[in-house]
Amino acid sequence: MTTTDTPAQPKKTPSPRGMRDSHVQEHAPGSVLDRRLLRRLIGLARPHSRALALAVVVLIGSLVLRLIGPKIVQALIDGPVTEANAAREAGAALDVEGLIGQIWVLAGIFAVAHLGRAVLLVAKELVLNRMGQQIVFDLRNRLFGHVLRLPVSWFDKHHVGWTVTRTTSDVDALSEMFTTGVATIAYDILCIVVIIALLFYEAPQLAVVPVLILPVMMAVSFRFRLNARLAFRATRASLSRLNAFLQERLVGLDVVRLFRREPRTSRRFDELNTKYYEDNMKTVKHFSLFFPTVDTLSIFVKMATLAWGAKLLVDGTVSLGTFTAFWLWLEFVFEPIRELAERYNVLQSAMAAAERVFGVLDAQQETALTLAAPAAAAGAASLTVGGKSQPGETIEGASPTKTPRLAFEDVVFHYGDGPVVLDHITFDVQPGERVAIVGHTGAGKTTLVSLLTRFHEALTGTVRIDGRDVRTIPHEEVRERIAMVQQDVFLFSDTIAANIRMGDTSLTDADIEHAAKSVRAHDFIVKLPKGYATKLNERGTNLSSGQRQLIAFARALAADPDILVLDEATSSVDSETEAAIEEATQTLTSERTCLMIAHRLSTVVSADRILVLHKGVVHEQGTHEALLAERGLYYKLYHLHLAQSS
Amino acid sequence: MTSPSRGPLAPFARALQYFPPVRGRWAKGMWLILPGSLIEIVAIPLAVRHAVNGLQDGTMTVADVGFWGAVVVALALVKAAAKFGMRWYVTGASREFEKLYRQDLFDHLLKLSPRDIAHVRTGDIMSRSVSDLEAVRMLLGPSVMYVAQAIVIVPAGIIMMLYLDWRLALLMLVPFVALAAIVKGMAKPTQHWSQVSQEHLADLSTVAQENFAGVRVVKAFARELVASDAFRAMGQAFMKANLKLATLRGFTSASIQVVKDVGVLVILLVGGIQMVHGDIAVGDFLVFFDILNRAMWPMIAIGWMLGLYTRARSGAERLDTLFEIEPGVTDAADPILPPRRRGDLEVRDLTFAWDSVPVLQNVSLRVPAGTVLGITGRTGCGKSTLAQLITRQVDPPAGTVMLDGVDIRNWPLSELRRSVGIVPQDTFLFSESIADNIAFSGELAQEDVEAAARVAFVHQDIEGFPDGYDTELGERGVTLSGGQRQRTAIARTLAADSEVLVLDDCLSAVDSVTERAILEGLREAFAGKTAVIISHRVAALSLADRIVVLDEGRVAEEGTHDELVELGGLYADIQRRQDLEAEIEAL
Repeated sequence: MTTTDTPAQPKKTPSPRGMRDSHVQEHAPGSVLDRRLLRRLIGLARPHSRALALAVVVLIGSLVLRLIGPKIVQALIDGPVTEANAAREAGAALDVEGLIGQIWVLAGIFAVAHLGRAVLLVAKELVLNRMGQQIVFDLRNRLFGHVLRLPVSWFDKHHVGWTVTRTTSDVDALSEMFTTGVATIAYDILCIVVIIALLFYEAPQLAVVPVLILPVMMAVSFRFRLNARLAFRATRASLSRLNAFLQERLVGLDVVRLFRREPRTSRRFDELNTKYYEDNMKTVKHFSLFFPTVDTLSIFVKMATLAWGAKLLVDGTVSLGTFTAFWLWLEFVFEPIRELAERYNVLQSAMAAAERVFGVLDAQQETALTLAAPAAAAGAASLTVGGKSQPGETIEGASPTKTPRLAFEDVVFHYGDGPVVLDHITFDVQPGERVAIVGHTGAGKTTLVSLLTRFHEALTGTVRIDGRDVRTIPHEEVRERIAMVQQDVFLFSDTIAANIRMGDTSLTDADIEHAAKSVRAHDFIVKLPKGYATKLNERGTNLSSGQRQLIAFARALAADPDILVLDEATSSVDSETEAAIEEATQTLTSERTCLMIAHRLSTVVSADRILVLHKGVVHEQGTHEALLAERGLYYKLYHLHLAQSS
Repeated sequence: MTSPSRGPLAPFARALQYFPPVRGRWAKGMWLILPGSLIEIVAIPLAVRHAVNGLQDGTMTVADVGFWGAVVVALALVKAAAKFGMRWYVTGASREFEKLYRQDLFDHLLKLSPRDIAHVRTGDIMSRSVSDLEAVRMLLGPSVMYVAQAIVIVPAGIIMMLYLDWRLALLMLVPFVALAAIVKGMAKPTQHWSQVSQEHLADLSTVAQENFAGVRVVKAFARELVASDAFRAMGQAFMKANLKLATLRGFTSASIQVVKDVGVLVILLVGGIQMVHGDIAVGDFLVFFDILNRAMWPMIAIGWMLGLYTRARSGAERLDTLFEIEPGVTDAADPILPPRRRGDLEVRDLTFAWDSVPVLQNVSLRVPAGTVLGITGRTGCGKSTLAQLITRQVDPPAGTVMLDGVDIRNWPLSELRRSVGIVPQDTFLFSESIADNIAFSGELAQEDVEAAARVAFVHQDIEGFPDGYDTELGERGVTLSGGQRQRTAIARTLAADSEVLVLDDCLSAVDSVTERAILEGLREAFAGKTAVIISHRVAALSLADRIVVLDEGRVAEEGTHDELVELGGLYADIQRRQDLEAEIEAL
């Protein structure tokens, strides 16, 4: 049975065409040794090389201080203890006071060394975390800013949730790598190498035994961890299946009940639940086996060392103190060996996360889509062949006019490999003209304006503002001149004032209030508990749809644009708000070049010109009266509108 | 201890219902703690001590030491087996417990309707069924196991040390107590900061979510920098909380280390002096180190377990609130099944309100067996509510909806569902194969599935998919278009072969050509059945013998298509508008 093994994440919208599978969080393990990826990761840490160097020093320091412990035990046993025993055996006088004095000195050294080590441990934690958090903080900010500058088409292809996960969980996974991952692995490896070297230095004959067995232990550990990891992965997958099933049945609870499907749904859940349980038990088996096995192996190493050490002790090759220190050092080696495999796994997950993060960072920002402006007017002219280039038209280099002229020339557009949305559209909007676009659903109205704001780029043909091809004008510049009121008003969970100001710090509170007054939003705003400082819910759900539209008008007016793009909302509002919106529309559109996707009769009737868009082409155009007289498509749409609003 | 109803186990009253079936397994694992821990903390240290001391004072030959080494390895193997059994049984029991608990939760949810759980977010139910359940399981499994282990190991370790050297043992108590105190003391601030950090992460996530979702507005108002600044400020707060947390954790682990070092220091100093005096041997000395190492970890586990209890308790409480939700529609106390099922449907003077907002007023309808009734009206006129009431997705007032002469509230629910099939407005399909979706009502032969698909005019579409009827739907499979979904849902209901069919606006996403084809098929499928077609499309209503126009919850017009057109009222308006739309479409 092949059911989905994707984690259940509530999905708000059905996935658009070609959307990436946003639900597979845990990729197949990418190679940890991916050089290119490693280089980029090291690049992130480069500004922190001093902290990194400090961390290395601290780690080495703490290791050295730790190794002193057994050395002190060695000194204790081979010194005072052996001396006392020898004296006792020989029946000689024993300077107990002197020997105890020596022990106090050794204990003092131990105390100082370990106190120092504790300090270093805290320092290590602070240095590494500060560095890791800073790296991740910078990376997250970079990623966020980058995402906001990606072309709108990118958002058509990626779920918002998927992208959010990149900036949160994935970046966090990287923080783990910088704070604990790399440093701990380095420390563990260092630990193993240094201790083995130390063992050989202290007692080469004795060191042979553990060094022969340790690799076995390491292999077993890696093998176990690998199996445990695979089992764990399977468990995660079956949990995801279980969750996906649960979520779907919860949403489709009615269907399950209407089709009397409860018993079988319950059985199916039981199957998935049992599968999850069984996979869990496999994981449990691996972990239950792992710790006792490694522990037994370490005991075996110690016992083998003991037996072999007994021979060397009797031979006199090794002292009892050396043997004891040896024994204690061995203890230090077991832990890194046990943990190394797991740390490697953490690193692997971090690498997979890094790959996804870099994948997003590698996506091209929309600024890259801006073309170089044609060098001379001649170039511009050649671009407007067939266009309506008029004498005296501002081409390039001229300062922008307050009420610019817009032109669509033979524009073709479709989304991905979808059907044609705009099919060789040509029209223009004179300076200060208010053009209403009407058409049935799916006529391409919204797409048309998104080409003007450079949310999408025309596939062929040209969109011009004052004669300049918009593709040669940087995005910010285009958008600075245009204010857009979107059909589905998007408000941020911030104050009303901030939603009108939209980050333009040059606007005073008086400007905000003036804008709100002009579109008749002021009255309802001041009635709210905190007036302009009222914080909106996510998407402004604590306002009515009419109020949200008025805020959007105030926002557009405050921006004082040269061009206004209005995508009227279709939602019905009460008659009072309707009147306010009508009046606000008049205020907003006066003395500006306006492109309005109109749903309100009042907007259409008062427009200077109406473009009737149908199946991607301009079907008719003219004034309301002229078009009605034509008795064509507009006439029909008008009557349909009347029929619907009756 | 307080009364049982308020004891520490009180919040787990429901959870404990699932414990008896796993008790045997659990107990087996718990018993194995005893041999495993005693070998670890008593037998092995004693054997090692014996060997090392023998070696030191020369009473043992190399062969003897080898023998004792082998004894220790043998003991280690027994210990390993016991420890494996302990984990295997206890964790296994806790997993089985979790499974029973979850299944019961799911079966409870299946009794509810979406309306019953409307006040709970799906995400919350999901997290309760996973995280909260996990917290309860952890308490029953691993944490009880580790605490029990600590209860055996720590006293045994202390007794061992007392046996070896009482002065040293008493001194060793200090680090042990300090350790538990540190772990417990650090738990609260750590939990606090970890929560703060989680909240900041949630904030970050919200800001990212909002700006990415509203990216067009962000771009339109060139707000990228402002958004980045806000994001940066939140990131800063998150970073601060994380650093606080890291500092706390650093201090915790360093203090644990210091405590352990103090233990070693005591052994070193006092043990060293004792050795010089000849009171203890090197073997005793080494055993002290070993016991210190092995008894340390259970003490840490106890501190950890204390934090877990709180989490498990609130988890169990949250799970209880789910179990406490009562199903809205249930079987009558003594259900009545009509002697003959013909499909005679009648609505008598039905008045209905959602939360005191009136939706239907004095609606009376009759759909004699074998006839088709069309219902139309503007958005919000109460059409869909009527569909929900006659299929008993919501309880109508008593005596208002009768099927074959029996109030549907008195029908056995399962039999009613068998007799009345509905294609809901919101066509929800599951991520299964298309065949499974169509055969959702029961085990059906492939021919029946295909026959239903043919009538719903979706057969050809399905045949066009790479895997035909076995094509998986959903995230991993194909995504159907709105029209295909509706047609599949129609096939699903037709395949159930009920006496009464209710089609709630189920052709809205289908183009007019396909619509005609489906209607053709439905005309045949309706033969001998009672059907109610709810639609705002005149074409769909053409199948109906009679049509009812609802307006503001009342029956406004009623008659055949021709009669209603003749009347020149609401129905005639709808008809005119649709003609106009068809003309525009055809341009």
